[in-house]
Amino acid sequence: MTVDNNFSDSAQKVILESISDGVFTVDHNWRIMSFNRAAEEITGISRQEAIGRYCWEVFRANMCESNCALKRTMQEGKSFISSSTYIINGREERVPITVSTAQLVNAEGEILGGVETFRDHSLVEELRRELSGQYQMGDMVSRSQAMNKIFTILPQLAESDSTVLIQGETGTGKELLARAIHSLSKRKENSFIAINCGALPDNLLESELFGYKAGAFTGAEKDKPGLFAAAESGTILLDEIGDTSAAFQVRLLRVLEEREFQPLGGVETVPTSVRVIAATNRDLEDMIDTGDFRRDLYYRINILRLRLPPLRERLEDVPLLIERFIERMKLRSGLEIRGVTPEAMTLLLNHDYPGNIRELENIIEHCFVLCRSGEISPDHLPPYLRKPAEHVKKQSCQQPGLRKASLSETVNSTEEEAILAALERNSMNRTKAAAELGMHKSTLYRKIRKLNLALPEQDGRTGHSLVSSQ
Amino acid sequence: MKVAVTVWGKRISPVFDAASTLLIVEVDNGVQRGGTFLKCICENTAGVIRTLRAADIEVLITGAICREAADSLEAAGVRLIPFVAGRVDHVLADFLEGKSLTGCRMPGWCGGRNGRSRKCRGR
Repeated sequence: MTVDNNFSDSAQKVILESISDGVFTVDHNWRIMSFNRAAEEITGISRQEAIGRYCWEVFRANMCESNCALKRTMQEGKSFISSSTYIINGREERVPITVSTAQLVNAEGEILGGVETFRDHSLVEELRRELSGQYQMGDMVSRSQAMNKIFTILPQLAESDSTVLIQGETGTGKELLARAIHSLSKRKENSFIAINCGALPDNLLESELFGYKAGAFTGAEKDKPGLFAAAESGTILLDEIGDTSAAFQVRLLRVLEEREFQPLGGVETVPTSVRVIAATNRDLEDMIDTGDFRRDLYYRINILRLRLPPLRERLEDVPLLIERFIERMKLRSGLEIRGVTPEAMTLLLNHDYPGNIRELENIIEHCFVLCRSGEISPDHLPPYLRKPAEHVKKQSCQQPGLRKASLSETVNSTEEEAILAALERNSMNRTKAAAELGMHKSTLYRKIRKLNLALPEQDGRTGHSLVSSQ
Repeated sequence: MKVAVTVWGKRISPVFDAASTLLIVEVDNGVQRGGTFLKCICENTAGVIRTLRAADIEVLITGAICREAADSLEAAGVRLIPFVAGRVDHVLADFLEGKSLTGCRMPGWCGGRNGRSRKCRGR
């Protein structure tokens, strides 16, 4: 019997040490009692360091503080399987993981503590990114042609050290694009710093960017390095550059031309090798005409220019973005939201998003407050979205039994709307509509047939019969 | 000088990104002058920076933090003391006495900020 027990104990140890899932056990005081090899590898913490410490000091998951699965297991006596979360390892990296928990019970049924197993999902995340690589760049996802053009040129653009100008409406992801440029560049190991130039008055903006010397002004008791110094050899994003004053524009122009800056109150200049990315939601060319933006600065920052399209011009991205925001908020909240009902998706696809991607993200966050599990339905959407679109009749809405819109259905529906709208705008002229949609005429014909769109038999230009009624 | 600490009950929050409460402490010649609690969604680093600036805070003591958030905070001029664990009163007492908080660090921390001398195990 003792031999059997000894064998069983040693077998368990071998098994625990050979599996690729991290496993640790805690006692009733949340102190770690055991910590296997995989747990060491995933967390970057040795067994010696981990044993005896509180589990949250070692595991460091974003669920520890408010949504601890192990705590719920210990309180409710039930196991949790595959909750998604992330931990922060000793190298300040977020590691995506899934967690399962159970009570630790001995042969007599006595509860000794809890056991938590966790699996590193970094590789899965990488593969997912790899598989959808054509749609993803940095933290941005898109299926639209306009965005994919940007994604295609981004690596070459990142290699260069030239100044980049990003133009786009508020909420289109200008900072994400700047971050993507930085992370693809040879500067990626150095800092990326973003500052909203429009949010600060001139003197404060200059002291933030260039720093100041002790005694430069009342209250400046010691030297303070600015963001240009902090971002040395890295990248700095000057957001809302169109909202800066003429005086600041002169100062910035000098920095960009001479590659050096002068801290406030200083007499010596400091060389800088920071790469500057400028962003704005305003039309700088119009501002030059009205005298609100310096032409020379415009030419200095407009070396490489990217225009981020607003979300209403790439509605095909809405389902993809919704999926991403739901995944992100599931991690944050621990809620098991499966997706969006077809009815809710219809409403979301019929909105024109003046606040762009940021607005969509806020909408999904709003839904997570009202929807605690299952699917997001129209009732969970903000009230201003809950007006049925009259010009679109989605097939999914006509089938109450249908519970979930697939991605292809929603993409088709978006395509259908875009095609019908373009045809209407061009008096049913297929050639003009195709040109407006950025596709060849034959592609438009193929899509019209594939989507089975009911159109007038006469082409608005030629009078030729086009679509056979089916 | 003002110091902020991300707190979880009587302890330092284990993860900055998930913390929801800041304790703001004023320090005068090594002596603590009261403390106030602020609700704060630390996941929004820009919001935290705005809060710290508005309250004129120079030092932030916190638990585990991801590199992006740490870089942003330091770039904003905040002196960051990350990967700290333990009871808030003990940690603050050590800090006010001018002691290094090395003894309060979480296991596995590489001491990577300001010099990034990383000799970590792990993946």
